[in-house]
Amino acid sequence: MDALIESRDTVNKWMERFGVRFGVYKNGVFNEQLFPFDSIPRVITKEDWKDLERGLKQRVDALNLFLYDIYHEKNIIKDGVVPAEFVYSSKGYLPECEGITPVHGIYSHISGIDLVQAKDGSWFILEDNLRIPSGASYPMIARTITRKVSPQTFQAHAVADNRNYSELLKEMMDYMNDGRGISVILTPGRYNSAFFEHSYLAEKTGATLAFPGDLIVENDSVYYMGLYKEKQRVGSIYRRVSDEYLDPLAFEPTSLLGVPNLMQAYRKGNVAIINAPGNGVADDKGIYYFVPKMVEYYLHETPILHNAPTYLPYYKEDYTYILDNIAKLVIKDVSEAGGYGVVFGRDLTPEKLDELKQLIVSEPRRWIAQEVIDFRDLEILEGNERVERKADLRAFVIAGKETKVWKSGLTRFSRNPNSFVVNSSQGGGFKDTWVME
Amino acid sequence: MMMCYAISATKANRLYWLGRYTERVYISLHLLRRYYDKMIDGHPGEYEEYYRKLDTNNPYPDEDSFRMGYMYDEKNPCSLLSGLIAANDNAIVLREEIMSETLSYIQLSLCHIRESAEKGDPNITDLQPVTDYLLAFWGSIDERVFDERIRNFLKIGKLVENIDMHIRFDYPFYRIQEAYDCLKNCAEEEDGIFDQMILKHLDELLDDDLYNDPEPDYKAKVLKYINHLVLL
Repeated sequence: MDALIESRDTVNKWMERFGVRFGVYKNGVFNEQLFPFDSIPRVITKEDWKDLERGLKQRVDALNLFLYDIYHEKNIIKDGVVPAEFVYSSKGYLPECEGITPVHGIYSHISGIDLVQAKDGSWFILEDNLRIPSGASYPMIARTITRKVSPQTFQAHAVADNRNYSELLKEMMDYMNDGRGISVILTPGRYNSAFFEHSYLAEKTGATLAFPGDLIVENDSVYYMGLYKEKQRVGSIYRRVSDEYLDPLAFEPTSLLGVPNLMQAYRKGNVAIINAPGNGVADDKGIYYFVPKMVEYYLHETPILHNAPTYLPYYKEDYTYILDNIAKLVIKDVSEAGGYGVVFGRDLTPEKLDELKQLIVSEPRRWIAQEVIDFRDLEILEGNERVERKADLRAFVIAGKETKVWKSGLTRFSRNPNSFVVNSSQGGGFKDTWVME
Repeated sequence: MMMCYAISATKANRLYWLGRYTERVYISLHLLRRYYDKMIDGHPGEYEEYYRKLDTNNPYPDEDSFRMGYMYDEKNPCSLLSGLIAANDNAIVLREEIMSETLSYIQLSLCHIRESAEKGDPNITDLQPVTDYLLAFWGSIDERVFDERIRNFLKIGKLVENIDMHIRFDYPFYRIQEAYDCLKNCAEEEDGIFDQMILKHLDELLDDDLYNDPEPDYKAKVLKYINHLVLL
């Protein structure tokens, strides 16, 4: 393992060589940055993984059933398990998706579930990402490189090979495609923060990378348009374009990133959209509170994985608790993502805490509060010194013919010793995640 | 997974320009070595001639600023650095077609020239790795890209640039003829992107006698045609 750890700079050089970057907009200016790689892996034991795998599958299966239910019968609302206002006031709920049954009834084909491990070893779910979760390509290419740079490390340790992510993806895309046509990855373009991932996954799955303008809809079917106006039918679209920009005729009319009439083709079942539009209703920070209840409701099982202790100001009891204990809680704005809109009560002055309380009082549906989990810190190399930093794990669950959990994940860490925020857009780095066999 | 045989217009355009920019940088490096060699023997103003041949205004007042500027000036669209940035801008969106290994040679070229620019090294030999990487890039295309159409679009760009640069710098006619013959072979495969009228004009103009004993506007006319030949 030491040989691998010492090779950090070599690995980062290889990443640079392969153009492993992500884009960040700051003050309206686009910059591409290397995603700093730390060579000390996160190690998950075989036993730990067994529980995680079961829990993740269970959670994603329940979320998929929830999405189907919400856009069809809405039994979970009728039965009083999830309040209607949490569904209909969610920004991610799309009335345009009402009554649409996606191919094979699957909504969240690629789910990125963020977890943290507490000091006692237990895992907590921080959030579910069911729209366009990104990040799998980084540990995948990191492993490709580290196996080259330090083969002896992998000879000495029985680590599950994670380079099969593209195979899992391809298998799922083929299943969703049903032989209707080619599979494409639809990217908003070069200046999207995750463009590296779009192009890398296209290369590794053999899918065609499609840019805005490359796809058209005719007679309710989607086609990839060639140079000489020749058309090739598209059977599945792994879209990396947000819901609101996906079809200018259904959503944001000024969008130049989408495909006019795509929703019409989708509604007819002529194309699979991966992930399905409208999934945002299930990964809303407010809905997160109800996921363990969904597991019980749809699967009649006890949830294997737990949420971080969460309070909703919507419920009177929680409301009082939050206002009384705000200084020790972390408050999250449900409409924000990417580590934004997260406030630690302990970091605020009494005046700022009062302001936050007022915001919660005036818009209780906009906020959730969570206990601060005492994360298990992970070691990283800072220069040549080992230091401990906060880290999370994004596990990837692929739902196709079967629901499968990728035996790895993206471990992100904060480079700032005082920060819990691990997002790459806010300066975090990443590690490989080893699942032991 | 069903194979995609169609190539979108934007993809074809990027392949073409990737071919052009890589060839531009490769030939420019070669030419610079030649001009720097002339400068050793005290041919003042050689660098001004260099710019004249490129049909662009010389923004540099002396040889030293020319050396640095032509290699590393990001604001100068003719510089080597600008050429590599443009090549990279096209390559980065073609990863799934040319493969990461091939793309890496463009990335390596760009990283190397940026490091040299930071050091402020005016020595052209410091850029030898860029030449090596560009040759490796084309080798990697041969090795890894099997789709004939992808190879063709790249090659068309490479050949158009090759002909353009060689005409500008008065290379012997046989060099231009060789490249033009190759280009015409590509035109048979992808005739839809070639302006057939221009192709006819070029067939007439690219003649040994006309090239070696040219009329005053001959070069400008051929350059104009060659740069408008491909409809991408």
